[in-house]
Amino acid sequence: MTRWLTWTLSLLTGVVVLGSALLLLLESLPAWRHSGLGFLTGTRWFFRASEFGAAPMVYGTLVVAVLALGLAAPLAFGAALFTAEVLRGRARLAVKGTIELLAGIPSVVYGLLGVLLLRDWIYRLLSPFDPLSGDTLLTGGVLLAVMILPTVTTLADDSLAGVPAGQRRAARGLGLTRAEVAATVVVPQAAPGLVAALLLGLGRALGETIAVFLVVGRRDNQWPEWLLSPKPIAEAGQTLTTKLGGSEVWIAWGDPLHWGAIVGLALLLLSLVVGLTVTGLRLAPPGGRDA
Amino acid sequence: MAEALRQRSASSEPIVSAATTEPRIVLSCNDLEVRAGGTPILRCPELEVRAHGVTGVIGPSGAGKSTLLKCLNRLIELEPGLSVRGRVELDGTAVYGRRTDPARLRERIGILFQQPVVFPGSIARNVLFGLRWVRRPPRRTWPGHVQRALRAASLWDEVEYRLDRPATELSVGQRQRLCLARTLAMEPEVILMDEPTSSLDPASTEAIEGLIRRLAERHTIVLVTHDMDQARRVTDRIACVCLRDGVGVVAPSVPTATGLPDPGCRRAVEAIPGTPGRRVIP
Amino acid sequence: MRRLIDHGFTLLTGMAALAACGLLVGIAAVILERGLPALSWEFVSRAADGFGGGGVVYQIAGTVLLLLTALGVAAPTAIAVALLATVYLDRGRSRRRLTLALYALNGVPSIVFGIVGLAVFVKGLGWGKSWLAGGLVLALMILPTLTVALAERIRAVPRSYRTAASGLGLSRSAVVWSVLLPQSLGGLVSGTLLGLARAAGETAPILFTAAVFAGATLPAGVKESPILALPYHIFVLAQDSFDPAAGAALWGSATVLLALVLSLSIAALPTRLRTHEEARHG
Ligand SMILES: Nc1ncnc2c1ncn2[C@@H]1O[C@H](COP(=O)(O)OP(=O)(O)OP(=O)(O)O)[C@@H](O)[C@H]1O
Ligand SMILES: [Mg+2]
Repeated sequence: MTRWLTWTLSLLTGVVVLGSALLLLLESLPAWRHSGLGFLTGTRWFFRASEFGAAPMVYGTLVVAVLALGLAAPLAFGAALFTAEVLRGRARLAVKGTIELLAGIPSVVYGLLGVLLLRDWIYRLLSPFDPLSGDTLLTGGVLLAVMILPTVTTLADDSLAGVPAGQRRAARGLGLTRAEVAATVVVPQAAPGLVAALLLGLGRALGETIAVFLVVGRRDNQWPEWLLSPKPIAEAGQTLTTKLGGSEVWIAWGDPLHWGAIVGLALLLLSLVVGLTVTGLRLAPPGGRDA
Repeated sequence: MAEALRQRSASSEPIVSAATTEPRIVLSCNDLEVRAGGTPILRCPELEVRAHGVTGVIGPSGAGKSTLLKCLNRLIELEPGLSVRGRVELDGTAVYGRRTDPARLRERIGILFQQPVVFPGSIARNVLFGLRWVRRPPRRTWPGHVQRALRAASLWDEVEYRLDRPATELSVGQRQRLCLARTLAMEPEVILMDEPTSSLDPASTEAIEGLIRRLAERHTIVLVTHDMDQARRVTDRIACVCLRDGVGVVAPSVPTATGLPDPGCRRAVEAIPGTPGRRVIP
Repeated sequence: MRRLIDHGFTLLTGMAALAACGLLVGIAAVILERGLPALSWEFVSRAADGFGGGGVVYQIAGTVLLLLTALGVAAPTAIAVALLATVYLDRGRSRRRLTLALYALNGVPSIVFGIVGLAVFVKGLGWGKSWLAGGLVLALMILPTLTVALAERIRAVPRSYRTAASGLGLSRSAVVWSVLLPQSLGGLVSGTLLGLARAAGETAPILFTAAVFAGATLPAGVKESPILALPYHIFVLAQDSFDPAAGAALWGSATVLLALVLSLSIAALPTRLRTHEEARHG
């Protein structure tokens, strides 16, 4: 009976999950048929003209996520080194606990702080360049950095602390200082886990919607003149998630092609994030063994 | 015959010859082989366990005694990485048969582990643990079951007034008897005991050995030990597990009194540091 | 020189940790500073009127309803999937695949859940915006959190408990109910609290499936029965934050939401940290 229930519920869940993925695939078919690969490479999105190019949103997503990771990673790794290598016992738990709580703050609250504080700070920061507003890709990136900081810190700490204490003791016994032990023994061994922490943090940054939505400006078709040009960073932009969270979804509702394009964006986002997550997990399997 | 041997092992009493008919064979193994990921770790070409008596299994550490016991009630199937081939029969039914329910089988063949495993919870809960989940007797009969099982395991007098205390408060020897009570509550036909005295002081060891002799009157017992003196004191027949080319091999059982026939086994067992013989009050 | 580098290391990493912790304190301080003055009994007990006036009682009720729905669906499912991952799937390979699938599901962006919910419930089944659609979407979203926390605890149950219970004749299901689930209850509770904390704060999944800004109270049926919800309320007010009247309601709502979410995650924290540290050192 227990066994039967277990299998039934689990299979049901599996069917729901796979069914949902399949549904996304099916519903997005009209868009693929209409635009083909142009859906990925096209730089123009005008739904009234049935033009659907996702590239500017992919660009926005990547810019925001990479900015976030670049800002958060040094701080996160520093904090993780401190909790794993310096702190012991209760102090360690207290700091870890605080950081985990930070991860629990709802994204809409971060978004609110972004709207009321960060937006103005960024506006002042950019004022030499005469920006249109404080709603920029940079604002989204900074806000996201704060949001993924706890995730990356916690995961990095997990992999650092996973290095056996005996090895640290042995190295200290040879006369190495704490910093040297960290650099020569701990970090090299934890490296795959640290990379995984980055990838999983990147995954979170790519998928975050609400907070970015409130501060990124949501301007369509922002495409840089040359790929690494820094200019669009200080301007409003659009990411995959903010497009998916916008009111255009309601407009798309009735038109299979437009709806297909929206679902296509969701699929794109999904494959980006799940791909990163799975790669991260391959590098550092969660929990390691199974009993 | 079991009776006769028991009397002889307790040499303070006169030897009385009893029934001479061969007792029934309860458990038998044929061509049993246990493998760990492809490489054999234990072979048992032939082993018979006779009803109402104590069959000893002796051998050096790591030879596969515990593994052999787990084969007899299919607990081995719960060990990841181990696989079993061959035949085991309990009263003529195939233990590894397709139609055999392992849970029902383990009900009939109880086991006592090398380290006593006590569940979190009160002493009474522990005694009732198997009973409650397998037989589901009515609640009002619970106290009776607890008392009977604890008396049979000679623990009643020590815990009578603290049945509701956590079982983890008990000493290791008491825990071992608590586990015995838990097994006895299921009224198994066969009880497998894996070095039940390995972590006990001499006094508790004597108590347990006496208890085993008394239990043997109603149950069939397979006792793993690494102590030849203990084997002489407690068992009627004895089988030996020893390592040959890295594989544990079980030699068929012989009467304990005649000693081990196989020279290899004898050497292996003599190599085990034994304790000087102690007298047992049966 | 080496000493200096070492001190520099401690100092730098310490400052990073301090900054990370300081962010939490700072964020909480900003919210509380502006939100506490807006809080009153009126605020949490009255319905909203107009754009940002009145209270948020129906927003709280809606959020609680979403959480209860998600809990009711996710908890039994999580138990099932966790048992599958730890007990019923025999081979290590399929277990690892299941674990990987769970972590992948955990990584799915919440807006994708929203789009799927829109396609399946709102559009496909023709429910329109409905609390049930939102609850189901949230349930799927928090399922991995619950499952992983529970499975982690089940794996931490000593192997000997399982073997001992099986040795008494308990079937696999009986072992689940008698040993595994009671011993890992803490994991289920902390996982649930954590999952609910996440669900309580999410806006993206209910954006298209359940929440409206005004004009709903408590739902009477399933079809076309949207609800108000705290995070969505904040989301809409934040987009139009120039209205000073909206300001007070905005910060007040944020304080209520933060209090709800943080109390859920603080309640989950002790068990969670303990499990993590044990998994590493034990
Ligand atoms: N799950 C397993 N996988 C692989 N090898 C195992 C497993 N369990 C036991 N073994 C091996 O089987 C052999 C026999 O082990 P067993 O525990 O049966 O020995 P034993 O005779 O009971 O020893 P002791 O007297 O120390 O209790 C050992 O070499 C052990 O390493
Ligand atoms: Mg053993």
